[in-house]
This record gives sequence, C-alpha cells and structure tokens, in this order.
Amino acid sequence: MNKPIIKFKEDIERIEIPEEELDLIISKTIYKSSNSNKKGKKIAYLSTAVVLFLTILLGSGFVSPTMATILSKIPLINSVLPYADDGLKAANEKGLVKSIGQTVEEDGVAITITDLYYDDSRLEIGYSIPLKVKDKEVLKQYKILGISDAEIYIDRKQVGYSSKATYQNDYITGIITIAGEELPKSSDLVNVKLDITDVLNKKGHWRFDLAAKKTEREKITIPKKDIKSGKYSFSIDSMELTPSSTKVKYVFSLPSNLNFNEQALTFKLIADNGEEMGLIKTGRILIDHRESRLYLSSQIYFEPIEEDVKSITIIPVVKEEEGKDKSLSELEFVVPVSE
Amino acid sequence: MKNYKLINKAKKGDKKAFAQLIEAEKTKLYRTAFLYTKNKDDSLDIVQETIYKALISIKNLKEPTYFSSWLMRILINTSLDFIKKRKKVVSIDFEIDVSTPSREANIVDRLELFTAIDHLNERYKTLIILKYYQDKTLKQIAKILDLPEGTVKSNLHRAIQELRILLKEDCVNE
Repeated sequence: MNKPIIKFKEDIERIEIPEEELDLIISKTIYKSSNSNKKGKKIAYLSTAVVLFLTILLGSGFVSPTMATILSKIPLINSVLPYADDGLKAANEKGLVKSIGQTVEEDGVAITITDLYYDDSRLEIGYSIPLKVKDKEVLKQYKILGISDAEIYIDRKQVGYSSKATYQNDYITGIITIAGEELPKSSDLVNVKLDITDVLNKKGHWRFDLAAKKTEREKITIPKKDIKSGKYSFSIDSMELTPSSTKVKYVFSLPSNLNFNEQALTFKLIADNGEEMGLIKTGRILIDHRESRLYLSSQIYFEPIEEDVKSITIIPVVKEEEGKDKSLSELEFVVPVSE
Repeated sequence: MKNYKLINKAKKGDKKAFAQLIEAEKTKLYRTAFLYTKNKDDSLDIVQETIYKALISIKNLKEPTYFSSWLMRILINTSLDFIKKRKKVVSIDFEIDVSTPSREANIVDRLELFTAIDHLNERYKTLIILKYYQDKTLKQIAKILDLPEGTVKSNLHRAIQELRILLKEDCVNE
C-alpha cells in the first residue's frame, strides 16, 4: 500500500454524508415507490427525454445559422417549440402549435410562456426569459439555466416533467416537457396549472393558467407480429402516429446469459420513401427475467412520418463494444401505415 | 449468512429487509456517486435512482451473494449515464457561444489521487474507484463491469499509467 492510495481513501472517507437527506430519500424511494414515485419518475424523464431532446436540439434548429438569424430578427421571442425538435417543427407547419404569449414578472425575472403543444405522446410548453449579460461567463453562476423547479398540475393532478433551456441573443429559451404517460387518457381539453418556483437562482411563484387542446391522433396500427432470429426476438406492441411523433412500444428479448447492456439497444425507423426518421427520445427500459431470457420493454419516439408514407421499416440496432452500430436486419419489421 | 436471509426476503418483496440491506451500503453508494458528480444534490439523485432500480429488479437477482456488487453495478451505470447526460447538457447550455475552458489547462502540477481521477476517462476512473477505494479484486471488478478479466487488467494498467503522468511521480503501484 502506498501513500497516494491511503490518502485517496482518507479523502473519500472525508466526503461528508448528508445523513438526514440520504435517509429521507432512501425511505421515500423504498416505501413510496409502488410504481408512482414522482421524484423517481421525474428523474427517469430527465435522464431520457431531456438528453435526447438536447441531442436533437444540437442536431437541428437551435444551433444552425438559420436559427440564429431567425432569432436575431425577432425582437420578442414568441415561438420556441418549432425549433425544439423535428416533430414539433412538423406539427407547427400544420398549424398545431398554439401561441400563448402570457408573461408574469416577479423579482425582475419576466417569464413568458410562448407556445404550447399537446398530443397523445407529449405536452410541451415553450418559454422565454429576457436576460442581458455582458459576459457569457456570468451564465455559469446558474446551476440550471432557465426554470429549475416548478409544480405542474394537469386537471388538478400533479405531473412529473423535464425541462431544458438554452441562451442566445439576450434570451433564455426553454421547454417544459410532460411525457405521454403523465397525461390523462380521456380528456381532449385539459387545464394546465404551472407554478414556477425557482428560476435563475431566484425563488418565487410565477403562476400560469393555461388550456391545452389535444391534437387528434391520426391513426394507430398494431401489428401482432413477433420476429425471432437466432438468439434474439423482437415484437412491437403498438405504434402510435401523432403529428409530432411516431411512438413505438416494443419488447426485445435475448438469452440472459449474454451480458447484454440494455443501453446498447436502439432502433432505426425508415420510411418507404427511404427517409430515416430521427430519434426524439426513449422511455425508461423495463427489464424482466423469464425462463432464462431477458425481456427489455420500452417505448421510443421518432419524428412523425409524412402523410404519403405507406409503410415503415423498424430495425433493431445493437451497439457493439467498440461503439460500432450493428443493425439486426434479420429482425426488421415492415409496418403498413396507410388505411 | 444473515445477509443471505435478508436478500431472499427482499427478493420476495419484503421492503423492510430491502431497507436493511441498503442501510449497510448507503455510505459507500453515496460516496461513490460523489466521486463522479462532486456535488451533493446530484449524488443524492443518483443514489435515489439506484435504489429505485434495485428495488424493482431485485426479484431478478440470481446470485444473492453478489448483492453488494450488483448494487454497485447499478450505481456505477447510473452515475456514468448521469455524467454522459450532463456533458450533453453542458454542451448545449454553454458550448454554443461560450467557450469551455480546457480541462487540461486546469491541471496543477501536483495533484492528489482524489482530484486526479477526474482527469481520467469515466471507464478508467471507475476502475480506480473499484480497485483502490472499494478494494475489489480484478475478478470482482470484471463481474461488476461485465467485462472480461483481461480487459479489466489491461485497462487498469493504462489507467494507472495515466495517473502516474498526472501525479508526476511513480507512486501508484499496481
């Protein structure tokens, strides 16, 4: 044993344990998590939705020169969602993103809810906050850029959410996402109460009362097919097409002795016109062991498909150890989507 | 043996037994998460998500003797996931028009292992944590990380080499 290692251990032992908080979190998670742990859910969404959303942001509007020009030409930002992902862009082109333009100012922070979108797969709220900074370094004082905490009620039921923001041209623009699982199944018109309690290191109550009308579901196709090839098997439980996304619920199974990491599984969605649909986000993967097989089930959201597309092909893709993608084309599914 | 009984109870859905098992591991879980995030709130979030994942999947735990390793594996995966995502978050928040200071520029001449590991990639960092904080054997590390023992050995060797350069002295023995 040598000195740095002893010191290393000592340093680690000196990491202070926030006993009370830790115990509270542990007991809350264990005793209250009968599938409805709000905090747990929130984390799950943060860990999947937000990140993918960001990836898409990076790959699309927000960083493009076009987007920068658009933003610089608009003195007051009244539209955020169409630039968030290609799904919302497509929905906006069909006139399905609703403009809001409500502003609440408190403690020198003016939050404007810019626009809103609601369908079976998600409810998205766009917002903007004007913020002039001399030096961008100043932004680093904020642990979270934009809204860092809020309570959201949909028809009086509190829901989990994820949110993300970016800064450009004297504005913070951001999006609050409420995933499909949190949304009421039956109502087409919902009341959304938003109480923003923490923003840009300031606490308070920025309250908004909004109404959201659900965009009609276009069609649902449920192929009752199961494909097996070698050690893998793949089936799709359902596929939902909304103007802002294509949601696929799947079950993927393999022998449990393969040491497979569920994060290594992704999918490709290709329309019959050859276009590949970009991934919008993935849901939490549920893992089940049965008869020495591992069953991974989850849902995954892609960009919406064009109206003239007649069928789409879904191909599972596995990331190999070296980071290379391997398409399991023997498991590909062709799903007809026209009536 | 007492643990074995508890684990079997927990597998059958006994939350009290599960809580007892977590109680014994919580300090290590929190400190390990802290090594990745270096902040309290994120570490608490990671511990919480780990416990949640463990709770819903303990029924599938095949070898009760490996409970502790299994739990650590969930925590490490959760932490790595978290780090990966946070990197993306940082990149959108600041990289667009704010330059991120180069990591290397901050390396001071003499570092301690505790801070030096932050300059390793996440895989190497994980190996160092498991080997030198948790005193795991190569075999145990291989099991936790789901890697062949040979890979663990060679990666650990490279991790130590990198650390030696960072620490500028020949002081970490394998």
